[in-house]
Order: sequence, then C-alpha cells, then structure tokens
Amino acid sequence: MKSLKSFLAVFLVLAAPLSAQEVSQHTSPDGHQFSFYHMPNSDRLAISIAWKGGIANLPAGKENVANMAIDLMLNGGADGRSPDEIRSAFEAMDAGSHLYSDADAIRGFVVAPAKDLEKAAAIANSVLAKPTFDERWFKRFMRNAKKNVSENAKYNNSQAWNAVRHLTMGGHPLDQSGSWQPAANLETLTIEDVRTWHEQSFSSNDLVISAAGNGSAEQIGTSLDITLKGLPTRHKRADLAPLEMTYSGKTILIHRPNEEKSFMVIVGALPAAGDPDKLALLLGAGVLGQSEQSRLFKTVRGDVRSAYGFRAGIHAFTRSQDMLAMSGEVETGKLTETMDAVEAAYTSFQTGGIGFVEFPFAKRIMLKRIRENYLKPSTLAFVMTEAHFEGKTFKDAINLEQQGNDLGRGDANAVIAKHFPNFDQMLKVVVSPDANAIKADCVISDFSEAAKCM
Amino acid sequence: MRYLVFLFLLLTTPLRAEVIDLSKYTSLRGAYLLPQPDTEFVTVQLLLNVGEADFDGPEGLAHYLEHLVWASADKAHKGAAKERITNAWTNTIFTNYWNSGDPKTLNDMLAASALVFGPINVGASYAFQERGIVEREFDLNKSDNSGRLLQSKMMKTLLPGHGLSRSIIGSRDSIRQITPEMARVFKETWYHANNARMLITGPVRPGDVIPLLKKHLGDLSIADIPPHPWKEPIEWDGRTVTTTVEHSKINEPFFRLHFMTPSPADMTLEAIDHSLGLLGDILNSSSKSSPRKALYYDDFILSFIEVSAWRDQAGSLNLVFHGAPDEDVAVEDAIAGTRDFFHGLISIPQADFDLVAQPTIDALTRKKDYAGFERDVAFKGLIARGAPYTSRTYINGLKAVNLTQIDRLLKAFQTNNISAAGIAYPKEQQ
Repeated sequence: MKSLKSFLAVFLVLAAPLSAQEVSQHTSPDGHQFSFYHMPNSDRLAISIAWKGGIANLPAGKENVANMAIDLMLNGGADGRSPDEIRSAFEAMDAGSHLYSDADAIRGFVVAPAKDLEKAAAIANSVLAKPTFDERWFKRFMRNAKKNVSENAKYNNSQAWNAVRHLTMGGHPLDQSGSWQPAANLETLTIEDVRTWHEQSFSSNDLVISAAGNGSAEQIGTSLDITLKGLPTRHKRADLAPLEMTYSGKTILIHRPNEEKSFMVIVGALPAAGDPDKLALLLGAGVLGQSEQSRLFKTVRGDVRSAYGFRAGIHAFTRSQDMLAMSGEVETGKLTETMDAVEAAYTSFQTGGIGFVEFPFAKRIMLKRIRENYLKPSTLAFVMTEAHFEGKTFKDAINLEQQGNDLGRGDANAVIAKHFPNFDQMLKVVVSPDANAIKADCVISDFSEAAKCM
Repeated sequence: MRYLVFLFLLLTTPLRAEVIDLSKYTSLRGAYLLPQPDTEFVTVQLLLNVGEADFDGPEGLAHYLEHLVWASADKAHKGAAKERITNAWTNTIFTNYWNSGDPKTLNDMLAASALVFGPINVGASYAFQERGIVEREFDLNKSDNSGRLLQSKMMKTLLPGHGLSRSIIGSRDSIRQITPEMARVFKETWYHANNARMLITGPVRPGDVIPLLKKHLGDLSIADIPPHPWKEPIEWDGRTVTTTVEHSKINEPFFRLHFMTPSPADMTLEAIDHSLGLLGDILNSSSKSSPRKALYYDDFILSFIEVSAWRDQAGSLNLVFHGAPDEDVAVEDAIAGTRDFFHGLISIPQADFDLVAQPTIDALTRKKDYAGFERDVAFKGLIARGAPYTSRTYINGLKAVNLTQIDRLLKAFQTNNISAAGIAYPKEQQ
C-alpha cells in the first residue's frame, strides 16, 4: 500500500498539467530589460521587440517611408551580404523573423529553436543595424509598390475599404500609412528618406521586450544583445496625434459601371482594443459573422441567397478604438434586400444577443482557438507586448482562456448590447455597377472622392 | 511493483500516431482511424473519388453538386443544435466532406457522412438558387483572379478535351447551363460507398467508433464505378503551346510556364511525391539552382518568381514557374530567360539539396507529434495512395530522398515533357 501511495505521488507529479507559469523579469548583460514566459513544452523561443513611438516625425505625404524602408531592410541585403545571402542564411535554419511598422511602435520578432537563436539574432542584427539600402533595390521595390497600389485600387473591396478609411479617419496620417493612398505620394519618396527614417527610428532605448518559449533567460539575454548591438542609443520617433474615428451613419455608393459585381461593407465604432470587455466583443463578432453557422451567413446566404459568404470582424486602425465591420460580395440585383436583411439580423443580434443554444459551442470554439494559439511562443511574446501598450497586466494577457471560461451568456450579451453600435450610426459603403442598386446619401465614382460624402 | 509499472505505463502512454484500419466495418472502400488522445475535437473526412474531371458537360457540375450534397447531409442533426463545424471542397479528381466537433457529436458526423450517399434532400428552388450562390463564389474567387484564369486557359490549350483541363468552378456561362437534374444523374453514377474513403482523427478509440461506423456506414449500397475519364492517356509528344489572357485588374503583364511529364515507372509514389516536393522547394529557394537567384536577385530579369510542383492523380508530374518581368524587360524575354535557365540546369548540387532538405526535415520532425500535422499527413496519404500516412512514415520517406531521385525528376521535366506558356496582359477598360 505504501508503494502504491508512492507510485500515485510520482504519477500525479508526472501526469498533472504544468501549473501556470509566471512571467519573470530579467536584464540582459548589455542592460536590456525583458519579460520572459517560460514554456517548457515548446520547441522554440520567440523574442518580441517593440520600438515605441509612431511616425509623427515624418513629413506629411511621406508616411509610407516606414513600410518601404522595412521592405528594403528585410529584402535588400545587409552588412555586406546580398539579399539572397541573407535569405539563404535564414533558409538554412528552422527559424523566422518579422518586422513591421504599427501605429504606435515598430514591431520586430525573432523566432527560432534555442540552439539557433543566436544565429537568427545575428542575422536580425545585420538587418536592423546595417541594411544596405541599395538604390537599385529601392527603385525595384518602389516600382512594385506603385504597381500594387494602383492595381489594388481597381478591386471593389479595396475601393470600399479605402473609402471607409477616408471617411472615418479624417485625414489622419494613419490613413496614408495603411492604405498607401494617395498613390501619388509614393512619387516623392527617395532613398535618402529611407536612410533618414532608418537612422531616426531604430535604437536601443525606449523598448518593450517580451520573450516566450523553451529556453533560459540567459539565452534570451545573450540573443537580445546580439540583436540590438550597434543601434543608436536614442531614436526620434514620436507618437501621432490621437486618431478619433467618426462614423456618419450614411450610405455611400461608389458607382463603377465597368464592374461585373457588387460589394458592401458596414462599419461602426467599438471600444478600445484593450477594453476589459474585448473577449465578449470577439465572441459576439464570431457569432454574428464568422462561420457557416453565423447569423449573417444564415441570413445573407441562407435566406436572401445573395452572396457566397458574408462576414463580420473586428478591425483595429488605432489602439484607442476598434471597428466592427460586416462585409461581403453581393448579387447586384439584391443589394437593397441584402442591406435590409443585414440590418434586421444585426439589430436582432445587438438587442437579443447570443442565443441559449449558440452560446456554449461558440464559446468553446473561441476557447479552443485561444488554447491552440497560446501554445505558440510567438503568440505569447506578442500578447505580453500588447499588454504593455494596453495597460494590462501580464496575468490578464496570459490568462485569456480563464477569462473566457468565466464569461457567461448574460454578461456577454450585456456587453454586446452596450457596445455594438446602432445600425443607423454605422457607415455603409457599397461599390456597384448599378447607380440605382441601393438608396444612397452620396454617390461617387472613386474612393478618392470620398471627401464629398463627409 | 511490476503491476504498478504496468499501470503507470497504461495510464501515461498516449494512444497515438498509429493508423487503425476499420474498413471491414463499413461499405466504404477504406475507413481509417488515427487516435489522437490529446486533442479536443474529432474530425471526420469523407473523400470521394469523383471530381470535375469525371464530367463532360458544362463545367462546374461536381462543385455545384458538392454544394447540394453538403446542404443535404448537413441536416443530420435533425433540428437539434449543430455542435460541429463542417465544410466541403471539390477538385478535378476528388470531393471531400468534413465535419469536426466534440466526440459526443461523432454519431451526427457519421450520420451526415452517410447522408452524402443518400438522395439530395433540398427543395427545387433551393437547388436552382444554389447555382446563383456558386456564381457568386466564381465572382469572389476567380473572376478577379487573373492568375487562376490564365492557368485554366493554359490547361485547356495544353490538354484540349482532357478531363484534367476542366475548370473546377467553371465560368458564369457554364454554371448557368448546369441543372439540378444533371447533378442528380452525376451523383447516381459516382456517389457510392465503394468509391469513397474515410479518415477519422481525434480523441476516440476503436471501441467508440466501430459501432457507429457499422450503424451508419456498414450497409450502404455499392455499385459498379465507371472508369474515370481522366485516366485517358496523355500524349507525351514534346509539344509546347502558348496562350494569353487579358485582364482589367492588372497593370503589367505576368507569365506562367507549366511543364508536365509522366511519373517515372520505377519510383514509388511516395518517393516521387517527396522528391518532387523537394525539387519544387529547391527551385523556389535562393540557392544557385533556383531561377530566383539568377533571374531575380542577380540579373533583375524578373520582378517576381514562384515555383510550384505536384503530382496529379492521373500520374503526371507538374512544375509551374509563375513570374513577372522586371522593369524594361519584355514578358516574352522573361519567359525565354526562365525557360533557358531551367533547361540549363544540369543537376542539383549537393549543397543546394542540403540547404533545402535539412531545414524541411527539421521543421517536419519538430511538428511530427502535433495533431494538426498528423491529421494533414494522414490525409495526404489518403489522397496519394488510398491509405493514411503516419507522421513517422511520412518523415522517414522524406529523409530517404536522395539527390539521384531529384535529378531524375529534373531530367524528366527537361527531356520528356509537354509544356504551356501563358501570358496575362493588362486589358484597357472602355
């Protein structure tokens, strides 16, 4: 009996789920502070570095320098090595990296098995500290960017979304940096702009650093120092003025007579990305329009029979306010019927909330996705960094599944009723070959004329 | 103590990674279970050996039928809450219906699978309206996609009249010609249990599954399945064809080069699939064996290049170069440069093979116990050879690939091929 007890003790130790780990704080040998979440069952280490500050230091019209410079950094060679040598070096490892410019920070990631982390960090450092910025590659990327931006504007969904940006963002620089419109601004960018932006943007100060995965804090500290070696001590990035989005409630029709099909998007305001009710809002958006069992799918495809699919989602153009969007390609002759049906389905959902039958399965699917994503070190490193920007605790960020478990239908529905905007306050943009397909407050022929519809 | 060790092993050893053949409990051509005790959901995939290449009327019928059958089979829960997610897809050769949900919904999922073989249970107006939904799907996924439109036209030019050249979704015109009656007749010909295989993955044991398999799929009707039209042999006469499309959504031309060659008779399907996959990866890498190195990085001939490689179920091997000319380079010169590069490739150096093969093996080895990877690999086997692969056999197969095999395939594409070049040009709008 004694041996059985011993066995059970050993068995329980071995078989019990690992207890929730805590986020620990560390400082690298070169003095960089970072947070670390140890994931003993993972096979990777992920480091997330955020260089705080927006693009307010850029002249008006040059907001896309950041995107262009990052493209050139990642794909244009560095530290005497050609672009293909850099790519080959990464291809030779089972590793990855990422770099992008966000509204309030530049975000960088290095992900690799612990054994390869230092090698991956060295490549990341050459890209960050010593990009080549070759004129020939700059010209190539500029040409590709102009082509992509110009082609993009030919698609109905891009027309609609560019109009949404113009109409809701009120000329804020984030409109240009996100949409790359007006495309004419690209003509003014030079390689010198790129070099200047790079010199002013990357530094070893003002950082938010988070790491997660299976390895030691020492390994991360060493790799972090390698990644940041040689960067200037200070940057000149500055936060943009807060973006205040406005939703007129109008219906805007972009009449494009040569198109063969129609598209509609309906957008409205949600609370800030870091709102404590975010999980309930995500669940609400999911039930509203993210599967073949969603309200909008059943309404638009199942009842009106006017679209292959119709979905809802939450978008974040600014951290201070999220956007609820419902969108889909719709049969031109059924645009009005579809808009009416979407309004009815949405209003019913906004007031009635998630149904008794819908709730358990929808919540389970959401929690399953959270669990699956939270197994990845890159996700954990990302959410820890986001927690910093959103003013949340690491515990809140990491224990999302627990918060989801605690979420009841009544609470979720109260959040939906409180925060989902009224349909008549939402902006509707329809792109169609038929100028009379829907009753509109304003008709234009291209998104660039959206100011006429303010 | 021995008892305790046994108990410990019994309680802690995961029941994973070995495929269990349950075919004998069903009327299906094959039914397999891959137990995954650590997962939350069961996934049931029903793969029918029928696709668009089996029809010779208006294009898009097999896909339209899939829509009707999915809607019909989805009624298996009989009005109760549907606690599963479900969808379906069609290609030229196969149609797949899948369901995923809690193990307690396995009964519903298998009932839905059985309904796939029953009569189409949707109203006449629904069936006609669904044609419009398929047209919307064409609008969404193909009408603006100049690359897919070009590829379709290239296949029609290269293999005129052959089943493999049929467009899966069709065109607006062809979709409008399809009738529910055509779909019903097509279904009666091909939708039989002995023309389908099933893969079940998730936290279930044979004891959970077998009674339900017997109940729902144990006594289905079987029928003589006609020969697949796409098995009609391809003439390997070395022909090279060229075709073009015009599209209003593009500003600059791009091209595709598609090479086809028969499978080498003395290589196993597994060896061919792995070797071909690695050949595609090498041609897509930044090594010296890749057109990306010479034509994109070094010489600025191409502004874009992607390579894909696959074996189709008719046994042909396919290699496609998708590229666009760089500034001041004519698209015709870009195609010629790509073709010349490919034909000038004498063999793959060991260093280039190592650059690509080892990280690929490392990445797959890292994922070998992931449930999603196990499921994907098992399903690959179902498609490739009619029975699932396990992660272990799949990765071992990849490790067994050698440079000689890759060079064999490279030479086959270079010497015994038929090929199509396609160019998409910008179309001026009126």
